[in-house]
Amino acid sequence: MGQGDDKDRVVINVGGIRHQTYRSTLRTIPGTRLAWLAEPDAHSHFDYDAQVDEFFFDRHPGVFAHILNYYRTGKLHCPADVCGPLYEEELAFWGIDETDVEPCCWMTYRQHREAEEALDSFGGGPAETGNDDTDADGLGEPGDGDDELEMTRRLALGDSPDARTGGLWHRWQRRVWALFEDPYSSKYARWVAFASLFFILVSITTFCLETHEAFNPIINRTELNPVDNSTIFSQETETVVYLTYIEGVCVVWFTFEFLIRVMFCPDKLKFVRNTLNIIDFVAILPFYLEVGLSGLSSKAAKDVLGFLRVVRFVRILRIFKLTRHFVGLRVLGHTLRASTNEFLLLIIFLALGVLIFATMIYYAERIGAKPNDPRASEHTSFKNIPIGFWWAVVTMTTLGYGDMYPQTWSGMLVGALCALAGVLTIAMPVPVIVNNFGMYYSLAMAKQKLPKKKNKHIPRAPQLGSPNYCKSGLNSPHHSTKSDMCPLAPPEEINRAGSLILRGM
Amino acid sequence: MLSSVCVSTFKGRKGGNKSSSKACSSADMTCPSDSEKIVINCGGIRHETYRSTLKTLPGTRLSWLTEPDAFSNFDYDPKSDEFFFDRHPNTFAFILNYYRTGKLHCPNDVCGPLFEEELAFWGIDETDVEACCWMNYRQHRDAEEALDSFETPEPDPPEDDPALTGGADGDLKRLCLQEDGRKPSWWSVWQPYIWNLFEDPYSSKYARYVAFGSLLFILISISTFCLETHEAFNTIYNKTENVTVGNVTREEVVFEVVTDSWLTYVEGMCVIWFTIEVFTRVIFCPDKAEFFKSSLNIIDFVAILPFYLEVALSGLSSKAAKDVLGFLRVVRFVRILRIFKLTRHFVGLRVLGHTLRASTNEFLLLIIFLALGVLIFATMIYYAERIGADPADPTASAHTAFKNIPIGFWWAVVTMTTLGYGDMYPETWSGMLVGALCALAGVLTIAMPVPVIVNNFGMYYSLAMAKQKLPKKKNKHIPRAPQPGSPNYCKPDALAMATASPHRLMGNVLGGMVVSSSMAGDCPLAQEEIIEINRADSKQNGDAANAALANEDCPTIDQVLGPDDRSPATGGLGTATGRERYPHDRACFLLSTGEFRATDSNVRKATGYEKSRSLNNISGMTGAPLRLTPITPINNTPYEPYETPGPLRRCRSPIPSIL
Repeated sequence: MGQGDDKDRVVINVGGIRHQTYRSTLRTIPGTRLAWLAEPDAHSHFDYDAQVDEFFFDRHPGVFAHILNYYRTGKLHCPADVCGPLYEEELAFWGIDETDVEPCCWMTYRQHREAEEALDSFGGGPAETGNDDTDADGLGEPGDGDDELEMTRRLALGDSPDARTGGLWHRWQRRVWALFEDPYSSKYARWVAFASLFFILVSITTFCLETHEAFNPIINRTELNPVDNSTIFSQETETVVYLTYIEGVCVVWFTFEFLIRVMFCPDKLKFVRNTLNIIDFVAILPFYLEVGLSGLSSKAAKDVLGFLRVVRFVRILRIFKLTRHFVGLRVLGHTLRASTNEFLLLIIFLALGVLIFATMIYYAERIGAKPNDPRASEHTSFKNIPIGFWWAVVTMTTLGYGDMYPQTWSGMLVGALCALAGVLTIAMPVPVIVNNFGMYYSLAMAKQKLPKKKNKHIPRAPQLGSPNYCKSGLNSPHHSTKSDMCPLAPPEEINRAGSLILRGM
Repeated sequence: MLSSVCVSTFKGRKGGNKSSSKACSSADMTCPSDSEKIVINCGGIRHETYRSTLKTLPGTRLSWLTEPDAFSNFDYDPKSDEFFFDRHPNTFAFILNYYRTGKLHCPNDVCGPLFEEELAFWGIDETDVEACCWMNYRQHRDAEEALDSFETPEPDPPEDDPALTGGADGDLKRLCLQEDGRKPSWWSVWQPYIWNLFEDPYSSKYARYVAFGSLLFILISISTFCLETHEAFNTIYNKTENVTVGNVTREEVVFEVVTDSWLTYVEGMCVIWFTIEVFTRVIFCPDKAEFFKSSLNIIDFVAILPFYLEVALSGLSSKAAKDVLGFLRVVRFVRILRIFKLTRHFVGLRVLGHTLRASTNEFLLLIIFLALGVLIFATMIYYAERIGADPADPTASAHTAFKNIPIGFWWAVVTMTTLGYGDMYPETWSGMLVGALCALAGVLTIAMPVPVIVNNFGMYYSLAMAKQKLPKKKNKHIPRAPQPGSPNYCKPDALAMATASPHRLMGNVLGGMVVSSSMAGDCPLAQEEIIEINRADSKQNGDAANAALANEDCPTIDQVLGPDDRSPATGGLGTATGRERYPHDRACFLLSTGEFRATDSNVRKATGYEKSRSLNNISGMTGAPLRLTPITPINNTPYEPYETPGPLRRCRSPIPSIL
């Protein structure tokens, strides 16, 4: 009996600390590395020390306690003193699915990865991919897959005869693309970026000034009415000419930039799909249309021109070109996209409040109405509920323009309630969005500030007889299903290969 | 990706693995795979790993453990077959994990500087920390560096423990003073005293009075400045003036505003005090150039200037003087700058200043966000309000306050900051919609970058408070000097021997064995620490330069070793210690160069270490003569690396001079 008891217990030495458990405990989660320990032939597969009767694993000892606890209690918690990615790696090693993490630990466990994933998934823009390339070796985890791709790409370039024949194009394509895309790639790229920035600012300034009356003199026009030969006087505003010239110069630069980017971009499809590039294109279109149509003098052309003058406002979209130059703006964009849910929540909260308080103020203000007023709204500015919406928004956001305000006691009470409710309504979802922003921003900053690592530390190749040998590799006589069961091997293998290639380069 | 460590490629190695594990299970201690395992007892907790794991990072302390002669260099206990290190056990798990997985994560339950020290001890480059932990790890250091870089140099140095920062310097100074006797009596005695009186309110009781006086005068002067503009203190006089136009002389009535004279007197008093203060400070400041570089001192000067100019010019009655006076009256506003003098008295204000300077990026971000929003919403409101325009109106803006986009900027700012003055507001339906959106966007726009700035402020503030509130340590805890047999007494110092050798050389020639052995040899940690520091410095150099330097430096080490090689043999006294250690030096050195050549991925690591060693070397060579005279004090207060890391970091520059 005693002997059987002994057999049932297993000692696992992880990184020097001995953990003891029952074999039956290990069997609770089949298909994991520890479950294989409970099998009879485990001694030959793992690093087993017969003298002290223990298995040795060269892993983090503290984290293992939590993993073993999962076998015991069936609940996977995360240690508070290690960061998510480390725990993730340990989980992967022991073959435990990370989705088993309990909800209480899930948020902290995923925090970093989520921020990273969000940043990565939004980083579809060419500027982002440029960043990713530079970050890839610095950041490790998400980059490794890319590394491999990058490797094959580079290898392909090096190997293919293409590289020689199309060498000039390739070399220039890459350089020109970097020139216009990545301001940090070279000195000239920085100048190009500055020029671009300058033209954006000039064009936006022109756009705003155009609407000022000082630049829009009123011109009296006389036209001959073809019906009865009488003259019609009409007044028209016309923008002063030199503003148009300035705008023209800017548009020429933007066109030049856009065309070069189109020509030299490595992936046309991706380029076209990018919103920023669409904006680029849309923002320069109206000018050319206007110029083209102004030559014609037909009535139809005039109508189109009038429409185009309104459409001019798309030029303001150029301001989004600035996102290419400022990290913070990109982070803002990511935050907004990642926080769509919270944003919607905010709007729903606000809409709810607006509806309720607009109704309340409408009725509250009618309480003090004069009896001889049929509409009961002579004395107040809250003529109807829809106009009350505006007041409610202005009050809830604590704007308080003062164009409408309650004038009866009951109305004031509602107003006070509305302001209070507004503060709370806005205050509740905003921190969530702000947190998202903070997370992305700090990650972006960390990526920017983290010194570049020249050579990555590559852990030693697993030795023969080391426990890191995954079972699937050596158990052909064993259960044939096992090879499928080793969840870790294939991706790692790829990884390894990738990093080896990387080293070779 | 998943773990890159538990790599398992291994279809081809089945047989080999099986056999080896079999062997392992059957054989004893002598089994090769068993000797592969290594036990490291770190602060009482036994960590076990494979030798091959430790070899993944050559040039670090742990990788030296795998060398054949490690048993003699480290604290090896043959009975339990383990190496003992007297270090923090829990952080060591993370360090060891770096060897296993290749990813350096930081423990969340220890603070950055502690981990930094551990990293330095184990010889791991801190830039290997993963991105997810980097901000956490650097937080304190970043705050400290920011505070340090902004700190005006006056207040800090006196606070530092002189014995620590510049042990040798302090001693030298003291020695000098004693030697020189009474000569620099009055000036050198009173200069620091008076300087402290005006500079550091906590230095003495009188200094506190001076600070209070200064504060009082600042407040009075600011109140006067504000009251002056009130009409109650500005009486209007009718003045008649004779104006000659051509031949005709006319009398013209000119209204002149004259400030009450007693306000001017009050202002005069304040200015006199400020003048005295500035002059005293100028006279008694220890470093004039530094003094004039400080913006606070420039403000001091600029703020008292207008008063004197005004007084001087009011005596003159020429037309030109009058014009200048009129100009000066406008320039008076510089007096408001005096409010910045308050930063001398309130830590919070200084922290605010630091925060603003350190958060320039975030501040810019806030402005850019706001500018973006303002531009977009001003455009939107302009077009939205024109939708309901009267067709007869050519400018289409008679009915609305939004006449053009630039004026819309103001509205957008007022709305986005939720100010809502009410001087302009949308009046059409579409405009109201835009207005609501604008207010919402404004709340978010402002709310997003602000917490970043606020965080910075909180961090700096808590650090500043910590510095202020932290009780002065009377006697610092000094960890025992490492014993020869202790684990701390380890390879790096043996390696640093190469650097120490010039000292030993000098010692042999000039001083004697005592100096050489105790100084150069026995304080390995200091060496290690210095290596670390040098490495940190060298990191700032370009990589190309780095590589070049490394290449250049290798021969210098050789050269240094060369003469050292011979000298102990010839020098009679030094032979005992010199000989004993020499083989180790040599082994280490050779080994590291071997690694240096071995694999190209290791090149940088190796070169980094090589380089720092050689830097150390150089500094050692230059520092060697300095050491010869004040030997004993140095031996008594050696460079103990284990006192707080803070001062050590700060005293980067003194260290070479100590050396």
